Amino acid sequence: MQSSSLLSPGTAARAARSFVRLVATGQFSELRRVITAKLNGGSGLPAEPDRPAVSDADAARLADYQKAISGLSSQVGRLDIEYGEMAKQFDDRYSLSCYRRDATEPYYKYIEVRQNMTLWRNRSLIDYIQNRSSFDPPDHERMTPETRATFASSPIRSTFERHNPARYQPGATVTLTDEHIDAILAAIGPQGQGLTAWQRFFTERTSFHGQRNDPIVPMLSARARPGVDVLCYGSIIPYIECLCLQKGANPVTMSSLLRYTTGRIQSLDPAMAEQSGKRFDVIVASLAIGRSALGLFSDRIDSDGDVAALSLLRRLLRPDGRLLVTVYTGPAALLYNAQRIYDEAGLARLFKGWRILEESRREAPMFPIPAPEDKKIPGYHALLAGFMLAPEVA
Amino acid sequence: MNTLIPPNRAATPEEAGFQQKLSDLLRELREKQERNAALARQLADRQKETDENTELYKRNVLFAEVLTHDQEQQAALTLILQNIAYGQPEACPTPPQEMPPDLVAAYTMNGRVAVTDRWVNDTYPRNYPLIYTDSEIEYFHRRIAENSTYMYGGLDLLIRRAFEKYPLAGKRVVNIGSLSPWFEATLLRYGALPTTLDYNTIVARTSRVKCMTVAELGTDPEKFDAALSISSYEHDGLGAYGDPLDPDGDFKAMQKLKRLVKPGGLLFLNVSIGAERLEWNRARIYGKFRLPSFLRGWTWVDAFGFNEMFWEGQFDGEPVMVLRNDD
Repeated sequence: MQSSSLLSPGTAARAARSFVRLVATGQFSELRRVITAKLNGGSGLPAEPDRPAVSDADAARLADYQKAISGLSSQVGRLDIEYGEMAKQFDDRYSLSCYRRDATEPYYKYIEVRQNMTLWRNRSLIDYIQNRSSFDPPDHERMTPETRATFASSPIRSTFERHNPARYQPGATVTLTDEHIDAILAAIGPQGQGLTAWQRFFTERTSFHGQRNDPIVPMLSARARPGVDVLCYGSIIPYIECLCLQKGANPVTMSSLLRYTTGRIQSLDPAMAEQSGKRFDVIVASLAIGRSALGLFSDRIDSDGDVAALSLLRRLLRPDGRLLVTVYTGPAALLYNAQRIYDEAGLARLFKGWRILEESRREAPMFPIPAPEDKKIPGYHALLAGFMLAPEVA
Repeated sequence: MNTLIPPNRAATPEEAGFQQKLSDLLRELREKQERNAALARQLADRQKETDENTELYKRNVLFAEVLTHDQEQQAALTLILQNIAYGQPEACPTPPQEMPPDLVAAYTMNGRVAVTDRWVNDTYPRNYPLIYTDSEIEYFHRRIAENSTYMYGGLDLLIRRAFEKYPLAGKRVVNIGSLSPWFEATLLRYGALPTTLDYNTIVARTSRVKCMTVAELGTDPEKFDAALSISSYEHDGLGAYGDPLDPDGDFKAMQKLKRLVKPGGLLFLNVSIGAERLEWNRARIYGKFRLPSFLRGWTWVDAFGFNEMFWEGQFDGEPVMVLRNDD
């Protein structure tokens, strides 16, 4: 495409551009070459495309440049593709984990938070009723390194901690009246007539599903008779006490939480229990052993608190008395600050000095929604285990 | 690349152009390598999280099995405590089990919205208020400082990202619908001044949170700088909380909220996004069809955790949408 006329518009423009470039870059030798070529009769302009004639070395050099540029460009392109793929992966995972980040399965997370929320409601209500400020030093929220070390040396192998578990404040008590006892009785048995609005509300909203499935209930029913003294250890609500009332037995609650204005159920201060001289035919500790000394009730955290609680109960038992205990069995674990889960070795440690007379294990009920079967991990779930024990004679 | 230029002369313009191009490309390459490495690190963290989740999963299965039993007793104790504190409950009628036949067309938008059955009764007596305390707020602050989440899991992380991008320090923010002071504590943590707005009374035993009922708002309420509504409006008009049945309860609530937020004020909104349906009477799940009507009158500003996969309906998403009140 060599132009025949110096003055054709394209050629003139090219010449002007070449000239400016050559001057601007100070390459006067090139300018001299162009002018000389012109004087010799040629156009003196570089061949198309718009570039000066180059030596073989220069051409090779320019080719190298282009190779380097296209190499880098494709590297950048690959990085872009890689980024796009990673971003999609990231977004997909983020979306998936939006609900599931904490538990993979939201239902389990929900249960835990639900319980935390309920504990806070109860605490705030107790503070409101007792008209005290809700100031709370953040003790017990986390295990301290010392308490963790204590549990590490106990037979409970794995420790599962919750984020800052909620708990009842020191000195928190609830004083129950006949209205509350009657409501629980109505919820257990055939619903009575003449219930108050609150009692109807209570029976509608409470199923006692877990309590009905407690494996020691049949053992208790067989032994609770009029005149039998039953001690209930660590109750949160007096469900077992009310079962005893139905059978005509005499229930006594030993709990830091519960007090009564009614004479139908007695309460016994754990600190004064031994001195009181009271002894019992049946002692029931439904799930209370597993959660003792974990700080849920602002009690002192102690890895051997469960064994200590059983030895206290032993001292309160009449010589021919029976101890009914429900614990969770499964992989040995401490669910701070809610419960301990015992494996066989843990049970052996716990029941040292006791004879097991009767034993009953069943699935831990999950309600209102049962655990999805496909979500269960083999070996990783808890069974409710009920035991009837008698002290071994030394 | 200077090695390509002979030492005895300056670069030709063409060479200079190539050099410029090369150095731009190199810079771009380095930037993109860094960007990819950062994302790869985040991905690895997330993988670690997933691995930890397996442990968390085991832990939570155990917790759930153990805690359901405990939870039932604690919840029964709540009812006893409410009786001691507040006396006899006011009547709270059970929400309707079935969708009234004359409202089916309106609820389903003439059959466009599928209906599934997930009936719940979340009513509670008007005179049994929740109590919010400083102690609980402090406790939540400690959890938030640990980057811990609460009832809605990962949604809490999205809310924190939204509050970091759109600062609320010193602003009056109304939180719509509340069952615990968790979101109020989150707002306080980001320097906002929270007001809780709920149908039911809440006793605030703290000076940091102001609690109001919808009835207390009156006809000409003072406007707020911003609003937060987490998992609230999708329940409106379904009766699960004892509210009157209204197929357009969610639309109306969004329009009412416009009168509560200053012009230009932001709304941080979460509803479930997924395959279009109505889970009677628990909640609406917003699909492509109902969401635009729901957001009408609000200007879309941003979203966190929003993904187009949600529309495909394999699972529901819980994004945080940031909307502006533009008129």
